[in-house]
Amino acid sequence: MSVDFDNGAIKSVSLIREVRAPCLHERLSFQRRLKVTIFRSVRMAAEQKATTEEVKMDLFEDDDEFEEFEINQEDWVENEEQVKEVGLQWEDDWDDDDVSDDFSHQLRKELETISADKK
Amino acid sequence: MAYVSMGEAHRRITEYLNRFCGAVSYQDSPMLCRLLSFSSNSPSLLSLADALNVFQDASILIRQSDKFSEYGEILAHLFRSLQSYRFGNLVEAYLAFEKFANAFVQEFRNWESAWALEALYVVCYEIRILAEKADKELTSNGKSPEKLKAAGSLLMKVFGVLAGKGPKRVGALYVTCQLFKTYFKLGTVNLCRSVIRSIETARIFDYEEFPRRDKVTYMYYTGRLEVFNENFPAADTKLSYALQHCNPKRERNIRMILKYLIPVKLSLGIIPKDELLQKYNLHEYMNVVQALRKGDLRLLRHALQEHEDRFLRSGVYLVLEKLELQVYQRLMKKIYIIQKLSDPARAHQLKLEVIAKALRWLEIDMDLDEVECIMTILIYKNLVKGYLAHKSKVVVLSKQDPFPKLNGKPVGS
Repeated sequence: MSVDFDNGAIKSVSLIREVRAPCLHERLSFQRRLKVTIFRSVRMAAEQKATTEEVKMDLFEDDDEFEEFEINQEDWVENEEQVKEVGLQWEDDWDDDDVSDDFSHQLRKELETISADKK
Repeated sequence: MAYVSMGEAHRRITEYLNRFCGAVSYQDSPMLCRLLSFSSNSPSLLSLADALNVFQDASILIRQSDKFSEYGEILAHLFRSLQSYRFGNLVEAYLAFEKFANAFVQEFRNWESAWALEALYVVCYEIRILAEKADKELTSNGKSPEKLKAAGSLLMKVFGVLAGKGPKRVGALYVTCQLFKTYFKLGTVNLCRSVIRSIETARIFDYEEFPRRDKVTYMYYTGRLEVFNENFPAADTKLSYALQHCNPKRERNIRMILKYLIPVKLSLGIIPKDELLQKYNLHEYMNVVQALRKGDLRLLRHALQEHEDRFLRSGVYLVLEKLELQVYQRLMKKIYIIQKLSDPARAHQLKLEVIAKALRWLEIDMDLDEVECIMTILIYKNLVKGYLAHKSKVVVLSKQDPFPKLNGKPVGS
């Protein structure tokens, strides 16, 4: 499988979708091997483009560069409450036995048609 | 550029020289910072640049007084850089600033106390920013960008200067973070390794001594590296630290931390509350979270497709795609619960046929062999407890806890 350097990363991943590896496990390790190729291809695509006409500077950017904190000031005062509050924004007990939602209802209907088929 | 008379130019330059030398003599770090912050585009620096342009050869003024000529080399390069900066010759500005920085660091070494640490931070910041601008200029002229890489080398040198026993060592983490920003921008993140090793293992450094703001930045970047290397527990620790201790007013930074922390938490079976996603405008994760909650594989695939570009750019795409196994687990659990409602005696037997039907409903086409393969993986990764009765094409679930929770541990650990 060749990696398309034009928009390399995005096209490569689309190819994963199309390659119907028979086993998910195979697909996953294939993806892991491809991960390095994907990042390398983006890099190479960037370098290739840099030496030609219009440079797509976004490939050199790190979208998520952390903003600088002010240097000439003391560290901000920490509020115990705030620190705790941030920790409470997560749920770890969401995996319940509740099947009263829409999705579960539709799933149930779908499964019931199987048993109906059998009768 | 405003008209400046020779006399006025003379006055401005002399005033700057006096301020600079005064700042050094009186160890006035905040003043020195202001005098070096090109990127602040302060009116006084810009008007100094205009004055330098008129005066042409400021070195005459520098040589005039012993007080000034002591810092002659530093000031000459600084002035040249400022002039180039003002004219928009960013490559020239960078080159001169690099020379200034080298000279400044030599001087800094000789100052025993750490009084000028913040000024040194400004120099590190400015050189990185100038290098980025210089590289943009180079590439727009069809040349190869190399200044940011050079700035990286200089920053490493500064790191070396601070990696000693004295009070200056608390500055090392700030410089480390500038290096991280440089390497991430260049895409050479492997270079982060050596400086991380120094910070974390060198005996001269006591991590607790570093200022909190630098620790937050450090944890953000090292956390991102852990995500890239798929060490989710380590990524969780680091990014959570950054989140808890980041200045709460800096919402853009908090959003960035969450952008990487959320996929990590999801991989550990922990879900962000909707309010969190809303507050920090992280809508791209909403459907992913919903898919996991419900066991909706189709929704997961849709969510990945919809934001493919964004996830690829931040490098979390594969992390999110791997959540598929957890979504499978949730779906199997739902099928099990539904079966229990109508036929509790046989609920712990999941026919592969039934699973295949559910998958087809979610637009996933698999034959029974493929379904068997998935179930084998789920069992292998301890997402499902049970065994495969191959001949009867049934998954026999354990009567106890057939769908073990992750409990904060990544899949298959």
